[in-house]
Amino acid sequence: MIENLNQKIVNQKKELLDDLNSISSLNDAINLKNKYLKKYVKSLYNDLKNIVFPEEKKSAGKHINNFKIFIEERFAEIENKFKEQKASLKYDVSIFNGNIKLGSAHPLMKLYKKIEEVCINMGFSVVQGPEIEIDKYNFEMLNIPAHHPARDMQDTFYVSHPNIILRSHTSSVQIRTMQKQKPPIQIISPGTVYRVDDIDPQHTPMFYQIEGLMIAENISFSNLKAVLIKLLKEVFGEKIQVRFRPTYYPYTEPSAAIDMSCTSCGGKGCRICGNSGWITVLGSGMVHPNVLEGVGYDISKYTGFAFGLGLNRLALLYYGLDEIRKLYENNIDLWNQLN
Amino acid sequence: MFKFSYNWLKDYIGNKINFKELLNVLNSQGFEFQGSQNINDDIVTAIEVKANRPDMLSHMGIAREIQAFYKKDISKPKKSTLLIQNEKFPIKINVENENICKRFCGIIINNINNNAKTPEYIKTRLSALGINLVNPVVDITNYVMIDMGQPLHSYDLDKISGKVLNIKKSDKEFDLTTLDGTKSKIEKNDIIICDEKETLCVAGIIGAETSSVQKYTTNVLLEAAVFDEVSVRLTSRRLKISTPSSFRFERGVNANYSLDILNKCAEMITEICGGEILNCAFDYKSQKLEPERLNLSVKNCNRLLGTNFDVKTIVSYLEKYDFKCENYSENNINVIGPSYRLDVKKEVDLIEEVARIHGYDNIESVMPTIMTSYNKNEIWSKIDMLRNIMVGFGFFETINYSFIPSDIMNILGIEKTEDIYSELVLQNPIARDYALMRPTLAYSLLNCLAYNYSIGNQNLKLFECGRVYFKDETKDTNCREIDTFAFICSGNRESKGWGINKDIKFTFYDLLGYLNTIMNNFGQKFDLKQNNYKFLEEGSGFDILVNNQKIGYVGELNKSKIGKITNAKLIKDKIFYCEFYVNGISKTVKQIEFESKFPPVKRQYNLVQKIDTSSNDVIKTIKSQSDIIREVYVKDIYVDKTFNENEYAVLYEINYCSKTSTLTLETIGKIENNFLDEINKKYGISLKK
Repeated sequence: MIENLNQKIVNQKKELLDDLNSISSLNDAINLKNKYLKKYVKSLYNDLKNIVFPEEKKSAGKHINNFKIFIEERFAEIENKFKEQKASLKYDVSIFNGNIKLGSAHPLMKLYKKIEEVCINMGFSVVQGPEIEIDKYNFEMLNIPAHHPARDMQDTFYVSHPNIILRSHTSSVQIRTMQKQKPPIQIISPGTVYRVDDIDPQHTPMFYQIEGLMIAENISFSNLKAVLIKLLKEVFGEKIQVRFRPTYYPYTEPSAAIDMSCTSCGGKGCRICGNSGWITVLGSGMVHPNVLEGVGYDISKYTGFAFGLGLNRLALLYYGLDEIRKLYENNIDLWNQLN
Repeated sequence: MFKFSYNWLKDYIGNKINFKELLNVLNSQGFEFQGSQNINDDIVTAIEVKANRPDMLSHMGIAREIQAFYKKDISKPKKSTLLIQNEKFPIKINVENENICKRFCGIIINNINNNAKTPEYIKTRLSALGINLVNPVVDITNYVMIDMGQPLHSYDLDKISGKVLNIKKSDKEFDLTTLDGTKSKIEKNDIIICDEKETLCVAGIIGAETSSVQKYTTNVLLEAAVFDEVSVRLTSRRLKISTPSSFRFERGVNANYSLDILNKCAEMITEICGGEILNCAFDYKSQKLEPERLNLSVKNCNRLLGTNFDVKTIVSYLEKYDFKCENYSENNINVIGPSYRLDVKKEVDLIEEVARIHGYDNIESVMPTIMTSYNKNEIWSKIDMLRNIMVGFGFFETINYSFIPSDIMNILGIEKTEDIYSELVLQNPIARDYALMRPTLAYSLLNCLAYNYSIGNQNLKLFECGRVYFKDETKDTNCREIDTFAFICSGNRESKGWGINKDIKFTFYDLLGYLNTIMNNFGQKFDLKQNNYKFLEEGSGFDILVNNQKIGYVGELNKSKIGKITNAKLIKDKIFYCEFYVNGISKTVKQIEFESKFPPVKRQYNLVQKIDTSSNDVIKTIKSQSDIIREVYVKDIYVDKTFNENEYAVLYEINYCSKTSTLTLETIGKIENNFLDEINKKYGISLKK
């Protein structure tokens, strides 16, 4: 008798393990549990009554009990699993703890960092210089003598007349660098610059500029083009088109203004590019021999190019801001939207 | 900027050139299109003319520029055939020297008809370009200037007293009423034109009321001159008078055509107003009018442009622009520029002409191969690190104007003797509120905080990386600039919700928490020492010291001092501020110092401590008791009614861990008793009951 009973338990256990694999819902589990506990185990206890020898009865009873516990544990595990799943379905994933947040860098700095990264990867070092400058470095050594009409373009703040001014461009840093260092030179000079302008929606007396300089033997206009096209494509995307136009800066000759196809309309013409399809982003040119001679370079050996861009107007385009003065108002609500 | 009329330009270039194409050519040559307007059957167009190309400030100039692209020969002004007889000229003209006036030409027209009218085509064209109509003689001189670029002036001959004109630098100061009716102060060294009695003209800028051609004028003296650019510019800027003449003179006028253009003007006047041109003209010429002769090396040209042009290509390019190329060999060209190209002074200027006509876009781009050593910018990378830390903390970066209100030292109560005092005020600020070069970022960040409160942004955490400025005679700029980092916070540190039961406001200890975390991230040790800044709440101001050098300060802003700052009163919460100089800290590489395979034990001790006891000293004392005390932190502080007046409770947490064994209760108990005894002896500290 007892052999039969043991065999039955082995078979039922086998069946149970198969059944457990097929459970796909809490209901399945409850039904199966009933089958095993109320039907099988009950019938096993009935079988137990037929066993005569007390030792056999005790051993078989223990066996059935173990089997019963085994069944209960397995089903408890499964039921818990389903119950947990049910609870997790109650999360409203459309909300979250909004207290967890980042701050933000200033949009000018975000854009600057993008450009800086490309420049550094191309081998440019970042140099800085004073914002309060001597006239000599800001104008004279850049081939802009006193009373030159080009000074009109850059109305200057004076700290003390006539020599100490707020720099109107970071080209002054290039002069300082060239005075200290012999070619080859490959630098960018980022920083704040100042021009007399009242604060209104489209003007501020201060803005951020990045200027670049590359001087070595036989650097050519053709090199200028390659480096600046690469720079713009890395920052604004491979798709943009770039064109070069003659222009005038006292410190470069030939000088080139660089337009890129409007990033907003792709060149079709829109409000942002004034319907021209182009946006002027860079000023550049081959460093004027007067400038190179002024810092004591041998112009028969060294040539080079310089470029500059004002970050503020570009940042307006890049971030969809409408007024340039807002860059210095620091409305956190706006900066937060760029996160 | 120069505005031109398309119809007028057609006088030079004919009817066949399409307007759009014309704009493209101008644009590609560096004269940016700025806008156009249809006026009747004409198109008026504005182009940008940079300071180097004054020859483009006339219709003839534009025509010359584009001839290269249409194979046209633009007619030059007809040569004057008048007899030049300076001695016999009815007016005695004295030019002080050639430095103030390169050329001075005079022609006399007698007996003009003063009932004559300005012809319609002149009226239409001048009006379209926004030039006021005056009377036929003045209108025609204006017309010829816009046509050919030479400013002209007309005098009523009969009003020139003493029959003499002196062109000279003024030797005294005086008031002069000019044609526009305003009184101007003439100063020493302004170039003036005067007769025996009075001043008739501020040379190149504007005439005086007295001698001008009026309705009743019958005899006219016409003048075409070229005055010194810098003098005209300085006087014009000082008087704040800018006229089409002064605009051209200060950029440069070609002195080679003056007489021919004057002659053309005289002929137009007699055609329109009658009268006779006196066949005796005056012409004063400087010796310096020879055209530039330049040498262009083919090698230099190709080296600078990265091109491969042969000599023939270069010559053909330059000739299109009216440059004469003589005696050229395989590598060398002698070039004579057209007299109107005042900007071409060096070989490199010729190279630009070659590039311009070839087309910048047609020059191949080739990446340079140069080797420079990359130098890391230390200050810059520290600022980058600070920015990253702050953004991680949830702070927003701001950039503020470097100039702050001139009276801010007074408002904040910063005394002359204090290290952040400054009087570095701009001489020409845009307003008093933007005048002082800031010696601290405190005002800027506070102002920014207040602005944000005023527009409804609250609970703010802001920072800035910017410069502060001080006078310093040892620098070549007489100023010292320091890259400075600062942050400010106010309002809720945590807002109610998501497990937080009530709003938690920023406290002074949060401020120190940020500062310590920043410094710890750099591995920079520092000390704090009480200071006396009046704009910080009493007792809250501390200098930050690194190696006993002050590098900045922290504190709670004093509400009674900042009230005058716009919107600052809106901020009801406490405001905490910290700033330090970026070069004052340095980055150290850290190493892992503690590792144990045995489990740590954490215990908390609520200690009653005197208010003037430094918790840091207590921590040091506790730590010195055993190697097993790994770390001691202050977890909280609080006061309640059961304490004596100068006591409060400090909750310390101690982290015990041994490198050699699992800790037992006995071991910890022993250490506990030791340090409790010690701090009781030293500081009178006991466990809270």
